[in-house]
Amino acid sequence: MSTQYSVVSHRYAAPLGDREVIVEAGKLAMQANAAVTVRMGDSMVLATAVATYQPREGISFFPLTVDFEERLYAVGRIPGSFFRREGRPSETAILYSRLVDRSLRPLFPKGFRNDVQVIVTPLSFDEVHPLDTIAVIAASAALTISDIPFHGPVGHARITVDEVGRLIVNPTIPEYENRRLDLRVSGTADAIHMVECAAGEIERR
Amino acid sequence: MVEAITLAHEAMQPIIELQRRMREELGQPKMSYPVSGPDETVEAEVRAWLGTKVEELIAQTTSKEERNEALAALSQALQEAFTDPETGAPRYPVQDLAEAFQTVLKEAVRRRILEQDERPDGRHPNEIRPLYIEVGLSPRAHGSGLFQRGETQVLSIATLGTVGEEQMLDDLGVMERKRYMHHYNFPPFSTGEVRPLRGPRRREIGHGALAENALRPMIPPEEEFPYAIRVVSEVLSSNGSTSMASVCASSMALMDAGVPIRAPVAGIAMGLIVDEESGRYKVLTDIQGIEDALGDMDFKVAGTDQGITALQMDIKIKGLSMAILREALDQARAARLEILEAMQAVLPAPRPEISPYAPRIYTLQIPVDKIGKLIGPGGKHIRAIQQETNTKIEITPEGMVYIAATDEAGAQRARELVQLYTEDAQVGKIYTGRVVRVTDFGAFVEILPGVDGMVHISQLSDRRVPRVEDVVQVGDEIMVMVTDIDPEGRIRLSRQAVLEGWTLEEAREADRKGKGRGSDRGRNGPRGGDRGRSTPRGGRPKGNGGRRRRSR
Repeated sequence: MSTQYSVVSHRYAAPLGDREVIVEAGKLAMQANAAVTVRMGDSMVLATAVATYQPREGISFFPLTVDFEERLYAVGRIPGSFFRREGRPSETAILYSRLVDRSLRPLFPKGFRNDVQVIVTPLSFDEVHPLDTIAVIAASAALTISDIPFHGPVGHARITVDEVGRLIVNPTIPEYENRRLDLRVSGTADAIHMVECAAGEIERR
Repeated sequence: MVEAITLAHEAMQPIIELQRRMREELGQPKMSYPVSGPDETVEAEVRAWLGTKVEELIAQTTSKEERNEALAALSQALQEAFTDPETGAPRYPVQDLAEAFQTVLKEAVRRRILEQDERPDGRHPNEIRPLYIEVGLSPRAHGSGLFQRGETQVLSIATLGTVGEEQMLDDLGVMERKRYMHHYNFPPFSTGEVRPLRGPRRREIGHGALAENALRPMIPPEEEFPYAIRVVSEVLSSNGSTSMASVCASSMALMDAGVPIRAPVAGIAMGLIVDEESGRYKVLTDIQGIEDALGDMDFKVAGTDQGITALQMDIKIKGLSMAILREALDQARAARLEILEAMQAVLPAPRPEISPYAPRIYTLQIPVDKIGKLIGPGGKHIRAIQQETNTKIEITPEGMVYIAATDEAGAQRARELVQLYTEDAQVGKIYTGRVVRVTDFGAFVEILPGVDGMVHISQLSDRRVPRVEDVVQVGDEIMVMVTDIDPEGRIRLSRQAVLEGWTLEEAREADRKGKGRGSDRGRNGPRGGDRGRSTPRGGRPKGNGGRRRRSR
C-alpha cells in the first residue's frame, strides 16, 4: 500500500486587462529554488528559478541566463525535424528569452555574482493568449517567492489599438496581430524599465 | 505612445500586487550573498591616485581606439602603482582595482555630460555623429546600402526572391510564414576582436528582429510586390547603436533594390544620464558604445518622417518619468528627421526598376479548379513549362500564379503556356490541334493540353469523305473550329468550317443539315464512344494536400 503524496498548490488570481491571470506555486518542480505556473486562458507556462549559493569568481557581470524552452506539445504537434525533437531554439524562443531577461536583469542587487538560471517552459498554448506576457510574469513570480535576492516583483502588460485607435490592454493574439501598435512594457510598482514596441508610424503624443 | 506606456504601467499593477501577496504568504527568506567588487577603501585610494587623470584623458581623446588605448595604459599604471614594490604582489585584488577604475571612469564621463554638456567624443547631447551613406556598393546583389555614423558602419544587402522562398516558421508562434526577412550579423572583426564564428547569437537575433519590425510596415503587400525579400545587415565596424544603423542601411538597400517601400525608415539610439541625487538629467542623441555602457538608458527608436515603427527601451535606473520619456521621444524624432534627410539626399526614393539580376515576377490569376490541371499528374505539366521556358512557377491555393524569370521572353512564353493549360474551349474559336484517335465516324483532336473534341466525318473536309483515315492520321496537326459544347462538356469540332472560311453560324447550320439528311450517324451515334475526354486529364498531384504553397 502506498500512501498518497501530499501536494499542496497555492493559487492566486489577478486581472490583467479584461482577462484573469492565475498563478500557482507549490505543486511542480519543487527542487528548484522556486517554481510557479502562470495561466491565462488555455495558455500556461512553468517558470523555475535556481541560483548557486556561491558567487562565480573573476567576473565583472551578473551571470543570469534566461531560457524560454519551446515545446511543440503545448499545441499538440510533433516537431517536423528529423529527430522529432525541438532542436535549437527558434527565433521566437530567443526573442521571448530576451524579453524575460531584459525584464528581470535590472532588478538584481548590485554586486550579486551568483549564477541564476530562469527556465520558462510553455506547457499549453491556445494560440489566443500570448506566451510572452505570462512568461515574464511567471519568471518574476518565481524569483519573488524564491530565496534569490530580487528587487521585483515585475509586472508586464501589452497594449494595442483597435480600428478606431482606442487603446486595448492585454489583447489576445488575434486582437493585436496586424494592428498599428504592439507595445510590451515591463515595470515595477514604481516605474517602467523595459519597453518593446512594433508600430505603424505612431507619434509620441 | 506615452499614453499607451502609462496605461500599460497601470494595467500591470494587480499582477505586481498578486506577487507581493505570494511573497508574503509563500516567500522564502532571501539568501545572503557576498557582494562582489571593491570595498570603499580601495575605491577611495584609487580615486585619490587617479585625481583628474581620467577626466583629462577623456577630454583629450575622441576616437574609440585612441581612448581605449589611453585607458588601458592608465589602468596599467594604476595596477603598477598598487603593486608592492618588494613582493611584486598587488596590494588589492586586480579585479577590484579594475572595477574601481571603471567606477571612477563612469563618474567622470557622466559628470562631464551633466555639468558641461560635453560628451566623450566632444559632441553636444543632441548631436548626431557624422554620417556617410552610399548605395549600390555590390554590383551583382539586388540592392545594397552602406550606412556609417561615426565609427559605426553597417552594410545591408537586399535579395529578391520568389514568394515561395519566404520563410516557413515551425515554432510556437502563430504567424506561419515570413515574406520579409532581416538578418543581422555582428562579426568579431567589427570590434577588432578574434572570436570563433558559431552562428547568430541571441543579441544578433534580437537586433535583427528589431530592425525587421522597424521596416515591416513599409514593405509593400504581396499583391503589389510579389517577392520574398531578405535583407542582411553586416556590421563592419561597431561603436554603438549598430541595430539602428542597420535600419538605416536596410532602408537604403531596399530602395536601391527597387522595392517600393512607402517611406524610408531611420533609427536612432538615445541615451540618458541621470544624477539620482539632484534629479538632473541629460538625454543623449545617438549614443556610442561607452555612453551605452556607462549611461542609464538604451532607448532605440526607429520610424519614418510620419511616425515610429519600432521602439526598444532598457532602463537601468529606477523611476524613469514620463516627462523624460517624452523629451527622449522628441529628441529622437528630431534626430530621425535629420538622418532621413541625409538618406534621401543620397537616394530620394526607391529605384523605379528592380535590378536586372533580380528575378522578374509576373503574376496571373487562374481559376482554382484549373490548378490541378496546370500542375498535371505528379507535377508533369508545370515541370515541363518551367523547363521549356527556364522559369520558376509557383501557384497559390487561391489560383495566383507567380512566374519568376530572368528574361522577358521566357516569362512571356511561360505565361502563354499557363494560359493554354487553364483555358476552356470556346465555341466559335479556331484551334490548331493534334489528332489523337481515329474512329469510323470521326477524329478526336486535342485542341488544348488535355482537352479533346471530335470532328465528325461529315465535317472533316470540304469534300465527301469515305473513310476518316483518307483525310487524317493520328499525330496530324489540323485546324478546327469549336462548333458546340454540350452540357456534359463534350466538344464538337469542324475542320470543314475552317477550310470553307465559315462563320460559326454557317458551320452550325451545315452540321445540322448533315444530321437532317437522316444519316444513321446521327447526333447520338458518334458520341456513343466518346467518354468525355474533353475533361482535363490527370488532376492534382498526390501528397501535396497539407502544404500551403506549391512550388517546384
